[in-house]
Amino acid sequence: MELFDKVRILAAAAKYDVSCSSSGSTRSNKAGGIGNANAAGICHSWSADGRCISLLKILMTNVCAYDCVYCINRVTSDVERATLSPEELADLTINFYRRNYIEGLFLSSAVFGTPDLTTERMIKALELLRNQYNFSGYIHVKVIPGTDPKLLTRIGLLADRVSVNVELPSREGLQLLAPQKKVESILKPMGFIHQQIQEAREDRLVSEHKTAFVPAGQTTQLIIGATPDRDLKILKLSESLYKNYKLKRVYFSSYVPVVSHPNLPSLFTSPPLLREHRLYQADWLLRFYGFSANEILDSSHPDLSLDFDPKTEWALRHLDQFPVEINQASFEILIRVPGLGVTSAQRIIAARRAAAIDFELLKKIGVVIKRARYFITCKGRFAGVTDFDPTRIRQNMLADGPDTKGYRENDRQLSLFAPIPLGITSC
Amino acid sequence: MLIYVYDGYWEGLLTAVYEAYARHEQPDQIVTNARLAQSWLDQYVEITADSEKASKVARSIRRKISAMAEMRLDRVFRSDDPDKGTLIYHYLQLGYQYGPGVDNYLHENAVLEMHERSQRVNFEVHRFEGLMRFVRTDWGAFYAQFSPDHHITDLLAPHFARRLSDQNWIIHDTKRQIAALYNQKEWILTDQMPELLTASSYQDQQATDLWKIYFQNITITERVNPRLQRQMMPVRYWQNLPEMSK
Repeated sequence: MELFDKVRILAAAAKYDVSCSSSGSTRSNKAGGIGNANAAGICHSWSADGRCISLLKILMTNVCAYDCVYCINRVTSDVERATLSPEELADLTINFYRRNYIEGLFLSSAVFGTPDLTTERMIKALELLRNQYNFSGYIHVKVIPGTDPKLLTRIGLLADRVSVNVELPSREGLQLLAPQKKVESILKPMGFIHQQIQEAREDRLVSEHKTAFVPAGQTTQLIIGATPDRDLKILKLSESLYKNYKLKRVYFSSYVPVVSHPNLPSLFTSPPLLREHRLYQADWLLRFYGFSANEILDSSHPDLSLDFDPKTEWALRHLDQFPVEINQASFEILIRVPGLGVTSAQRIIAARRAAAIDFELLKKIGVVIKRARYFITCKGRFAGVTDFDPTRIRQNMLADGPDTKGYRENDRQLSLFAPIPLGITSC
Repeated sequence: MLIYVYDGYWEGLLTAVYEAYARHEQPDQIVTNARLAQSWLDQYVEITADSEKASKVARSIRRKISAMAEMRLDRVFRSDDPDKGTLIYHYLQLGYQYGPGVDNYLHENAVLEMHERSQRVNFEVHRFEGLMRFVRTDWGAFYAQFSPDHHITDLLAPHFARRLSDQNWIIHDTKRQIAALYNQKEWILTDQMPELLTASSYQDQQATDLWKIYFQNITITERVNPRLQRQMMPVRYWQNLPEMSK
């Protein structure tokens, strides 16, 4: 088979992997070598779906021994199959890298025979890259559940980031759709990698010359919309993964129907892109805004609202904490105001050191107050065009138009939404 | 109006700032080109660059304002905006008045404007760290052409010198006809295009085709969103992106 066809098949097979982030590592180039990592990550292109392309995201092979119902590459699926040799893969990566097409490699694979067999082939490609080509660019490896810890350790010393996919938000979902994967077989490698990262970090405190182990940390991905799991469950899961395994990111992937099966949504179901977008917004609140999952949702509100972003919903349910005075509120309080982000809060704090802030100055320094005005005062003035009452505020905000921040309706008349990556390379 | 005219170089602009203070004048504009809004009411003063005067101003920026201000001034000067000289002068006036805290004075237009413009330049540098595209020439070097909004070639060269250190490369700003040349040891900035370059041919079809096929197949067709794509990767950059060429 021509290399051209292999790339065509194995790129298409990898496209549902969400992560493209190339951040978090500071690996530097070696003398006479090629490549380095950029701590902030770099996007190199954007595909027609608007997603950033940073890494060469590709499968080593799509020949799979497993039969996960939701997956296009499952053993019983009738798709074209292809396999890249470690040499082909290393060569392709270097050729793309030299032309600045990519920031590095995101390697995953279908289960070729057994997890260990597959992983050994992946390691071979990575060793070629790191040792033969002297490549210090970014490498993200998707770990296959059930891989021997010894092999995991070898991967950890070669890769910048690894991920083990949770796949589905609940044990029941996994049982139903991916019977060969067990919760334990997913959490075990995650826990093992977490522990190794911690140990490597402690070693580095003692000696600077220890080799880095997964310097950019680990992430995971789960599919939403393939099972009936509620958003509350998903957020609680994310929260515990951040807390217990110190994950860098939990990615959500809207389920795109690829196969017809009694256990799955029908082929005519649109991917729940707006819901996915709301989950990312809530995830952002967990990671950067000091919110807990229980603040955002509870058993009487188990799902995120599609009308408003999660912070606005939270604020409307906690009006007793508002309005806040822009000239006095702390950073932590400011970022809890709907419509204000980290950048706005930083600007407010800088500007008020020099002069008291009124609404005019607020606008001038680039703070969008369309949403925020219902929740703030400037020098004691309220500009919310309504009484301070949740129902009235809600009505007014709905009348202001839909919450368009962060997604755009498609050019075509299809009602598809796609999230804008928050931040340059956070996709 | 009192208008200072400088030579278009950084040293010339700093000399103009020096003269404004030395002569106890407050020029309304500091520009490079006397043709701008010429009127018989305007008084033009030609400023001759003087390295000693310029370095006095340069030192005072570091001493009296901040390293951050120094960075912002450098970035804003890289734009082609005709009013950049005047803006820089206004920002420096505020800097001398308020000192290191000047960047908090966001209610001052000059401060806000400096922030926005310097950010735009830094953002473009970051963008081109990703959007630069090299082709392999038939004589072995890698060649990239780009057409940035700002003069940023020398800000990008160190990045590629660190990253692509084991290959010879050229980054060519076709808008300004300047280039950074790198020989696996060091890079230089030049406006003398090597002849070799204009005569080169590129036989890099295989890599380009592989990249294009990759680019097409990584798209989730159920989520196609050209508007989002254009927003993240503006059309003006497409001319040098093989994946966007038909």
